[in-house]
Amino acid sequence: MPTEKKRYGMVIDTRKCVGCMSCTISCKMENGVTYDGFRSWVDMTERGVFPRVKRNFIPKLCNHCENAPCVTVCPVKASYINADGVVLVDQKRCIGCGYCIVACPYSARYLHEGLKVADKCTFCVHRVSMGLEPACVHNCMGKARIFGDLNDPLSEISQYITKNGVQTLRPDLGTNPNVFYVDAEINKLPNKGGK
Amino acid sequence: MNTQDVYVVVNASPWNYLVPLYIFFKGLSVGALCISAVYTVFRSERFKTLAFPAAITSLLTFIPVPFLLLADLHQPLRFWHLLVNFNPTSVISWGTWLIILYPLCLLWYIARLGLSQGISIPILKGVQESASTSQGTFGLGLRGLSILTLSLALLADLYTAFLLGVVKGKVLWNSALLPGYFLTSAVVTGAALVLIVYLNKKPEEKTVRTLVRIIQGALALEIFFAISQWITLGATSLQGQKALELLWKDPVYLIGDIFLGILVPLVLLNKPSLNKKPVLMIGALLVILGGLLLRFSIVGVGIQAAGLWN
Repeated sequence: MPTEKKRYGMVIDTRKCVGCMSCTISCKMENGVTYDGFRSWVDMTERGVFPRVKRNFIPKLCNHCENAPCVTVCPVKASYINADGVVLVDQKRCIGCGYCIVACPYSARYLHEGLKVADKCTFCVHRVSMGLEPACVHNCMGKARIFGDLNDPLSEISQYITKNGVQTLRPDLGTNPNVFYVDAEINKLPNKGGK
Repeated sequence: MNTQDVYVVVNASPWNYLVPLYIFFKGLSVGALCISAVYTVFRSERFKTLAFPAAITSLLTFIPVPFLLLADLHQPLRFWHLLVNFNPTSVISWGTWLIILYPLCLLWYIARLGLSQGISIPILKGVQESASTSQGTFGLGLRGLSILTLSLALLADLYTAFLLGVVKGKVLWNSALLPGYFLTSAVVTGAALVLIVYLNKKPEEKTVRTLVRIIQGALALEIFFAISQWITLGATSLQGQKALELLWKDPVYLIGDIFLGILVPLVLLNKPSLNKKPVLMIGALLVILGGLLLRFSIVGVGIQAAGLWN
């Protein structure tokens, strides 16, 4: 039985991601994300030695951590976790000190050039409150993203997590992300010829 | 198997040159106060003539600090949010109050110190008058007030090291060495600035020698911290090794801080004598430059190194 309290999360099945970047574009359009910031993006890596080379796509966004470093460090309590487990920024309270941006181990925050405050993925709360999916989920052509209530064992996301092995980014940091990955080559070694 | 990043997004850090400058000036102020406290807390008579100029240096170097902090906020008019929304888990919240209380206490300390040395400060006349009574200093003597001011100063300096140190996933910053490293650097830069100020007054040979010895000791301690950092970064994890690589590749750190800011001054400040005033001045200036560059490299490389891993 689902609990009354919701905990929104997302599963990204990288087997289905083709790197089309529709998530990045739709997010930018939906949320008015400025040119030099990203709420949602796709990292690409190439692995292997020619001719056995593979390109991996790893879509990324705010991990909406249960133990969110950005919330811990915000000196004015502008960053907070709402009742549904979504990490948000109160843009009227934010002083733009940038500490949360630096403190996010996933580089998921940026300084909104127009508003001069920290900005990040909101899981499109404005859409979700109307019963819609986040823009990146709605527009994913490979249906690589599943969004829903992690507290509801019957939800599609909970079922997907049960059936597929999932990972999170940087589990060593103890942030307890609510974004999960299926078959992702994550927690990889650093770039430029890492082995 | 080879791995090559083809396209990786790292949202830019909003921190720019203002953050290391802020840490640097705060360190200068704290370091100069430490030199003043050698007389007022530890009662070293040799530093009696130095105590007041060091305290004034401490105050003057603190002046840019609040402006740098405000300038670093992208919403500076909302700075008051810091005062009404205290977050106990945020190091900045604690730091905000420390950098408010520290200069207030410093003003009080300067007034009281001036009073004890027969120096009248027109701007602080009212404070000096109240400081002349025990009620005006809440029963604190000069030493008690010095200990209070020094404690606040040390905390105000240390909080920036913790501010960086508690950030998850920043391997260069996540070190128990960082507070000690920053504090040592603060003391050495503050002492170097006090040395410059003092050399331009009527310096006493013995006092200069002792001051230079403090600087040399602190520089040696900085070398210890630097080498300890290299060993622990290089030996513990691949992330640490990559961060160390970046640090060593950074000319600001290796040439600026280590070579020009520590090694060259150690040579120049060797066997100090008033006959070598210009050499001492150049040595002290290089120490200050080194302290500034250390802040730039630790902040900059710390952010850059973490970008490899998210």
